[in-house]
Amino acid sequence: MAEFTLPLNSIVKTGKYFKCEGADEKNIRKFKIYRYDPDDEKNPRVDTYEIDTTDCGPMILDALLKIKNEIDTTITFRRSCREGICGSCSMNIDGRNALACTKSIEEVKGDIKIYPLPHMPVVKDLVTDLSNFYKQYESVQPWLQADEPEDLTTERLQSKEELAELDGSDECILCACCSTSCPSYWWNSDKYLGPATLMQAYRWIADSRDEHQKERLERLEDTFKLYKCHTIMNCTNACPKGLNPAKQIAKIKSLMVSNKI
Amino acid sequence: MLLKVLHGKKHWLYHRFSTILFFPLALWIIYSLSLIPEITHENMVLWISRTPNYILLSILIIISARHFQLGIQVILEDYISTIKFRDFYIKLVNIIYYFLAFLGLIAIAKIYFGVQL
Repeated sequence: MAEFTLPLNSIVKTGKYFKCEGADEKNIRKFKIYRYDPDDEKNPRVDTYEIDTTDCGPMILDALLKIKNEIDTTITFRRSCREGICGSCSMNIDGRNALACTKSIEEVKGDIKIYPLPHMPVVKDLVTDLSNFYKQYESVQPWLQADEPEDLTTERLQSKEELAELDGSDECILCACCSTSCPSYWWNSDKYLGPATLMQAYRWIADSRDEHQKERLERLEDTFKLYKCHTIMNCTNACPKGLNPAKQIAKIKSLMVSNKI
Repeated sequence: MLLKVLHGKKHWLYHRFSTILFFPLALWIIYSLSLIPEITHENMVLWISRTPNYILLSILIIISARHFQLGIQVILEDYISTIKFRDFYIKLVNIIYYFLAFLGLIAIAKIYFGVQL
């Protein structure tokens, strides 16, 4: 059955407070950050860090780096490109999934609450275990599947219109913001593929060069894999790249009917 | 066939079709009932005894029973992870909704044919 209460060792406690000395009060912002270390067998806690915004970059990631470099080196989070391309720094900021590198401190009013991506196993602090997410991505076979052409010297050409079909799905950076904002994915992440994976599935179904559209659609014909999308649209709301996974999922459902799968 | 538990595309299609059919029927019943000057037992018996009302009401009962059964199935699939229990409750809900629809059809048929005779 679904679990509606947290186990006792999951209840989040109040943690340490790191005060910023000597800064002007009006420039100080408070960052309340989820901390969890599986090794110390303690409950997760929320630590508060005061940051002088005049001595920090404009983005949430800048503040996290400042905290790690200057205040508390034990804090753990993923980051890489710092420009919204790699998707590593996805986390829950002020109640919404976002990329820390593209979300500015100014966008958030009041205290800035930072949690890991919702409903995912936490490895440490803001780092979640995305193994299942990647396994699901692998399950849609995200690579071009086409028979060898007779003439190997020719290219697989695509018209501008055919390429335009991929717009809105091939820009996905697999940050998992959409999937982990979806209540359906929270309840059935072991069976439902989630918006990110389904959008990638559509990306290959819609590719004019791919010759296995029918097989790809057949693999999605299942009560859970595809049809657990209830068009809640949290995915579209959460996508930091402004994509619309719900629309691509609707296109798959439509293809299911028109292709008589 | 009617008692069969639907999955995947079939479930999705039936749910959408039943919604599309349910919508005009819901508007019809609201409009039609609003024309009755006073909701009394006699007026309702007269209303059901009219052939178009009887036919449309029978369709509405069948469509709504199927629609609600499919909706409850989605909720059960979402919240019950143990397959054994999930399948049992889905079948149980299937039977309950068809039983209720059957009772509804018998009830209005009794009124309709009672008045006609």
